[in-house]
Amino acid sequence: MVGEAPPVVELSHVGFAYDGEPVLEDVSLRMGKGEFVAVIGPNGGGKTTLLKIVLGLLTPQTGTVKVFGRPPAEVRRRIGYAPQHSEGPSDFPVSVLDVVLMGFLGTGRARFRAGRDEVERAMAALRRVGLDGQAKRRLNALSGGQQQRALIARALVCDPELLVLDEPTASIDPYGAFCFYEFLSELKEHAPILTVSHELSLAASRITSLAFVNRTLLYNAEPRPTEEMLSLAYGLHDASCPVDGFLRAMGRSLGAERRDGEGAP
Amino acid sequence: MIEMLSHEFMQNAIYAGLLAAVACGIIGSLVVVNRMVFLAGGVAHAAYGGVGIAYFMGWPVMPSAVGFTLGASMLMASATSRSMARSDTIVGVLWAAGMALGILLIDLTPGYNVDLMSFLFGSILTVPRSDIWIMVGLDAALLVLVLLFYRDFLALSFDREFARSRGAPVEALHYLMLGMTAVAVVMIISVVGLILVIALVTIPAYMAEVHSRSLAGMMVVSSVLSAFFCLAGLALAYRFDLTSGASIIAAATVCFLIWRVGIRLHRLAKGFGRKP
Repeated sequence: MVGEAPPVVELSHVGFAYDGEPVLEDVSLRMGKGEFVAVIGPNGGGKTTLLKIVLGLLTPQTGTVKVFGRPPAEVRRRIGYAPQHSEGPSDFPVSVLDVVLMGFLGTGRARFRAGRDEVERAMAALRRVGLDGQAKRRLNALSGGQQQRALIARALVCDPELLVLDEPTASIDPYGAFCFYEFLSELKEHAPILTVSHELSLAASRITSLAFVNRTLLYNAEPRPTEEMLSLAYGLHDASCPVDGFLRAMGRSLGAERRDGEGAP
Repeated sequence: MIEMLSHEFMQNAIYAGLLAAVACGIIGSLVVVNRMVFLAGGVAHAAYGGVGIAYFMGWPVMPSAVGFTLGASMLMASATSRSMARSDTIVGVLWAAGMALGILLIDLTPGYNVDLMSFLFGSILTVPRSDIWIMVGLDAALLVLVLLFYRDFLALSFDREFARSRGAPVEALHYLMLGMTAVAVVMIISVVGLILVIALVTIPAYMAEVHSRSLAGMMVVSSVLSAFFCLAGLALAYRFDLTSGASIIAAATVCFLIWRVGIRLHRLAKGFGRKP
């Protein structure tokens, strides 16, 4: 029973369809400790579906999913998840501290009030995201970036071994988003991060690898898109479209390599 | 004015109003933060189908109405548990079908001529003592359930996706929440009428939401507001000889409008203050 620890996330040949409509096909991905993987791709390309499969919220029709070497549903409590913030109502009457305390959901307590130890851990999580002065404030009194940090604190409160984030910067302005990725990159030392992002240029400086999802998955073990990803993302047409030259140049300037990046390493 | 308290029917009306206020504060807060006002309206109207069945079959009204509405609410829960999108259509169908069923069955019942108006507007001034005790039991049951499942309801209402990811029994809680709403709404309808229930479930909860920092606080504030509206409405009804249910709603609506205008003016004043 010796041997290496299993990879944090391991998808092999995963396929998923909603009502017969394929969303993901033959998707493989391996993610280890200390990694910060960004998943990019067009809307409707299957990014969120991929995250939900990793979380065990959706079960793929084909292929296998392992998180820490186990089926995801068995290890839910070791995963910290921050859904897209737009899914929560913004004028909800709740304090920042109470949001973080929701992170203890499913840990077996059924009490009306949080215990002292839970409050202490929630305050520690808020300190980690730099919100310790804001615990008693109403969530919607915070800025978009601060609200996002509160949701990260909720994901952190149970000391997860993997962080799964869905569009964490969707409601933050570009400058704030840049700072946010800086902040995330510090967290990846404690727990590897799998995040969906549409802001590649911002994420690129901090991530360790990139996955491009549009029904299939292309993987690059470096923080930049391959030419293949760009062509799938934007479509490299033949001949005269002026955007193509621009895209090729962009790929080169971002350091895209000519021909790697199929499947998992 | 104080002599209104000496009448037993007035005392009962006040008890009924206060007890309904507690239930409406709890249920209304859950309904409003979960954006289920239309769904609650559907459940409440579908209850008339249960009234119709009771008269047609000669069954006791309250248990039949509770059973029928519970069934309708479970149907609505199954239509809305996965996603709330498009569920409004199904709620609309059940809303209309339930009421129509009730009216048709009462048409078909020989010798009976039940007044639809009393279902809609209730008669808080003729509440018997026995109903008061039923409502005490209902309030106690609601309080126990909310205390037991408070943190689950909070997480469910705030962010279902996250609750699901933590392995919380989201589907079961959704059914429980709608079941609680159905039972509470029917029992309060029988006391104060359907329109008053809708008013007490929505208006105080909406006002409380803006000023509360927690769901529990919102429940308390909206219960207190409901109680105030009930007392004010009853006093007005007594003083000016008006219909009690409508007076309570009028009191709530006028307070609501004043409150909205106040918030607007406050924001405007803040806006002006900020400019140099």
